[in-house]
Amino acid sequence: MENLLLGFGQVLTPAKLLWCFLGVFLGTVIGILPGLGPLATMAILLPMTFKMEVSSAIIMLCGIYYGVAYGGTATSVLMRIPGEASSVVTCLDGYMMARRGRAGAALGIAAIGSFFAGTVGTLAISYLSPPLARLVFAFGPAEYTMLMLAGLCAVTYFSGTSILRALLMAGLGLALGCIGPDPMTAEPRLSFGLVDLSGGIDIVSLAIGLFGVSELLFMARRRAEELQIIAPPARLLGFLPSRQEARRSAGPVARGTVLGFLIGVLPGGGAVFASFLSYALERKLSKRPEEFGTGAVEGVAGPESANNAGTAGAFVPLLCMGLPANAITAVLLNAFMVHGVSPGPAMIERQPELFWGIIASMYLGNLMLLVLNLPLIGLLVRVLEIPRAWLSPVILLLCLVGVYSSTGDASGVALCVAFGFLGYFLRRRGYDLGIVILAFVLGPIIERSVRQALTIADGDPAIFVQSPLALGLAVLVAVILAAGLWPRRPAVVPA
Amino acid sequence: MSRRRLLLGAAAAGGALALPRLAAAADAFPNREITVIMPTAPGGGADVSLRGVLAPMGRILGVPMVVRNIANPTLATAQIASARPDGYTIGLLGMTALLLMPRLMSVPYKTEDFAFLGGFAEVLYGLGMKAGGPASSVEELIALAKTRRVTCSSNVIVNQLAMIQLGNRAGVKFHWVPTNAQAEAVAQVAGGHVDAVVQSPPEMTPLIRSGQIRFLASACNNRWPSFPEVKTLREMGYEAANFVPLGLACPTATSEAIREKLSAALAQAATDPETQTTITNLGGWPRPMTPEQIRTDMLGQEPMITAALEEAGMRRR
Repeated sequence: MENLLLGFGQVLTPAKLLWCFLGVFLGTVIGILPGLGPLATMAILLPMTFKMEVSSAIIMLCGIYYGVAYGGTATSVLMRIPGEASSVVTCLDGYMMARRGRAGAALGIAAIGSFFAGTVGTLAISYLSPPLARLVFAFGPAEYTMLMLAGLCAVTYFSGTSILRALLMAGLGLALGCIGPDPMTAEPRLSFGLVDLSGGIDIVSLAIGLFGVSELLFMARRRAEELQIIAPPARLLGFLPSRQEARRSAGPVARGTVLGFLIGVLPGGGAVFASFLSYALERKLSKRPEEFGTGAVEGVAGPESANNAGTAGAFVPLLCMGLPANAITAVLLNAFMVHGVSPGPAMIERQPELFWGIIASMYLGNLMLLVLNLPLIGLLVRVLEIPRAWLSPVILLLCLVGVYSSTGDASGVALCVAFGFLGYFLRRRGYDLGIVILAFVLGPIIERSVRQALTIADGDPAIFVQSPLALGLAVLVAVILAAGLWPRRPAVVPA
Repeated sequence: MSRRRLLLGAAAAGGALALPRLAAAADAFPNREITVIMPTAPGGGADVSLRGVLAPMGRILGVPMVVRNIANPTLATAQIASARPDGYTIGLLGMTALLLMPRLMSVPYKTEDFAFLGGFAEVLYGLGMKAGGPASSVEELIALAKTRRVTCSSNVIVNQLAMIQLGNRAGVKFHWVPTNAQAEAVAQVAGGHVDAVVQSPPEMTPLIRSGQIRFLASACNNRWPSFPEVKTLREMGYEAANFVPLGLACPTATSEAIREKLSAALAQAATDPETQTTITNLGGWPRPMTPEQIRTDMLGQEPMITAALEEAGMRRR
C-alpha cells in the first residue's frame, strides 16, 4: 500500500497525467479504427520518446496498449467489423444486440466490464506479480501444447447446430495457419511459390476480411429496409444496460477477468485466445446457450472483460522479469532499454518509484478510459443513423488502409478482399467464422510447441504427460472434449 | 502509395526512356520523403535501432525518412529489389532474406540486385544457461553434450550459427529448438525446459541481472558493453560467432550520385553520438561500415549459412 501511494505520488503531476491521458486516448482511437493496431503506433512513437523522461514515456506507451482493448469493441458491435483481433468474438453477439436496439447497452457493458477487468488486473499486478511470474517458467513446450489443445477443443462449444460444421471451420483455420515458413526448417509451405504468401497470413488481413469485408458485401446485397437495425434510445443514459442485462453480465465479467488475466500472463497466449475462451466458457455455462449468436449479453460481457484482463496480465512477466509476453510488450521492453533501464526484480528494488508509478498510472488510465468511453457511446451509436450507402465505402476504406498499415504491402490488402468474399460465401451457408480465427491463432502455436517438445525429448511422446502440469492439462483436454461431445439437452434451435 | 505503385509500373514499362530523367534528378535529390523498407514487424531491437539512425539521416538529407515494415523478409527484400531506382525507396537488407531464403525457395532477387549504402551496427549475441543448472561454463556445456542430448533455443537459424560452429569445433551437437519470439527462447531456458540459449541483450539482460540466467560467453565478434568481463567464444579459443550486421541498400540501378548522397548521410548518421547511445542501449554494437565493408562481410557469411542449413537438415535447392 505504501508503495502504491509512492506510485500515485509520482503520477499525480499535471505532466504525467497528460501523458497518461494522451496514451489512453490514442489507444481508444486506434482500437476504434479497424486494422490499425497498437504495434505500429507504438513503434512509430518510440523514437519520439527517446528524449522524454523514462516514466512518462512508459506511462504513455502502456496507455496505448491497454486503451486499445476498450476501443476495439465499438465497430464490432455497431458494424460487425472487429476493431482489433481481440474483439472478433464480440462481433457475434454484440452486433446482434445492436440490431435489436441494444447497441448502447452492449457498448456500456463492454466499457464497464473492461473497466472492472482492467482495474482488477492492475490490482493483481500490484499484489500477485511474483508468484504469477513463476507460472511463466512452469510452461514449457509440452505444457503449451496441452493448454492450446484445450483451447482448440473448446471449438466444440461454439458449434451452434452441427459439430461437423464447426470442425470443418476449425480445419480451414488450421490450414490457413500452416501457410508460411515451416517452424523448424523455414521452408515456405502452401505458398504456391508466391513470395507474398511465403511469410504466412497476417491475422489482421484474415480477421478484417472474414468479418469486415464480408459484412460490407452483405450490406451491399441488402436493401436498406431489410437491415432492421432498431435505433437505440438517444437518451443521455441510453448506454446503461437494463437491470436484467446487468444481472446476466456479472458472472461473465468476473469469470472473463480471471480467465483473461491468467492467459495474458503466459507468453503466446494473448487477448485473442482469452476472449474466445471466455466466449466458449460462457456459452457452456449459460442456461440459455441457444441465445448465443442471437444477441446474448454474456457473449459481449465475458470476452470484452477477458481481453482487457489479458492485456493487464501481459504486464506481469514484463515488469517482474523483463520477459515480454507478446510483440507489443516487447516494444515496451525496448522502450525501457532505450532509457537504460532493464525491467525486473532489480528495477522494482532500485527504482520502486518507476515500477509503482507505472502501476498507479494504470489505475488512473483505466478510470480515464471509462470516463472517456461512456460518453463516446452516445456519439458512436449515432453512426447507426448514417445511411449505409454513405457509411459503407468509408468503412471499407478504413479497413483496407488499416490492413495496409499492418502488412506493409498491397498483397495483404488483396488477401483481405479475397477473405471477404470467402467469408461472404461461408456465412451465406451458415458457417461460424469465429472458429476459423481461433484455429488460425492456436494452430501454429500447437504445431511449434509439439515440434519443440519432440526435439527436446528426442522424439519421445511421453514428454507431453511427464510434468504434473502437463498431465493436469491433458486431463483437462479430455474433460473438455467429453463435455463438448456429450449430447446436449435438446435446445430449440432456429433453423 | 498506390500512385507511386502506378509510377513504378510506368517506369518499368518506360524502361530506357526513364533513365536519362533519373540522372537529371540526382542533383535535386532528395526533394521528398524517403521510404525505408524494414523486413521485420515494428518495434523490435533492430527496428528501433534503424529508426534511431534514420532520425539524424533525415536531418542531414533534409527530408523525412518513413519506415515501412513488411514482416515477411522475402517479400520485403523483393520490394527493395524491384523499387524504382531513384533513391526514394531503400531498405534494410537482412541475412535471412539475402542468404538463407534463396536456398529454400525461388526468390525474385539475387545478391547482385542490391547496392549497399553502408552499415550502422552489429547485433550482439550471448550464450546463456539456467543459473544453477548442470553446466556453468562453455567447457562444462561441451562436456555435458558429450554425455547427453543438449538443446539450445533461439528464434531464427541465423542466431544459431555460433552454436553450430561451436559444436563442429568441439565435436558435439547442440539440438536447435526454434522459438517464435526472442523472449520465449530465454524463458524456455530460465524455466529449465531447454538447456542453453543464444539471444541478444534486450531479452537476456533482465534475466541475467536477476540471476535466472548465467551468461557464459558472448556469441558474436565483441564483448557486450554492459558485461565487459564476459569473454567472446573466440577469446575462449572457439572459432564461433554470430555475425548480423545492420545496413541499408538500394537497387543496383540507382545512379551513383544518389547512392553517394545516401551513403554519406548514413555514414554521418551512424557516427552521431546520440544514435550510438540508442543503439548501445538496445543491445547493439554501433559500428559504421562502408558499403564495400558490409558487402564483403555479409556475403562472406555464405559458407557458414550453407553449413548451417545442412546441419539443421534444411533443404537445399
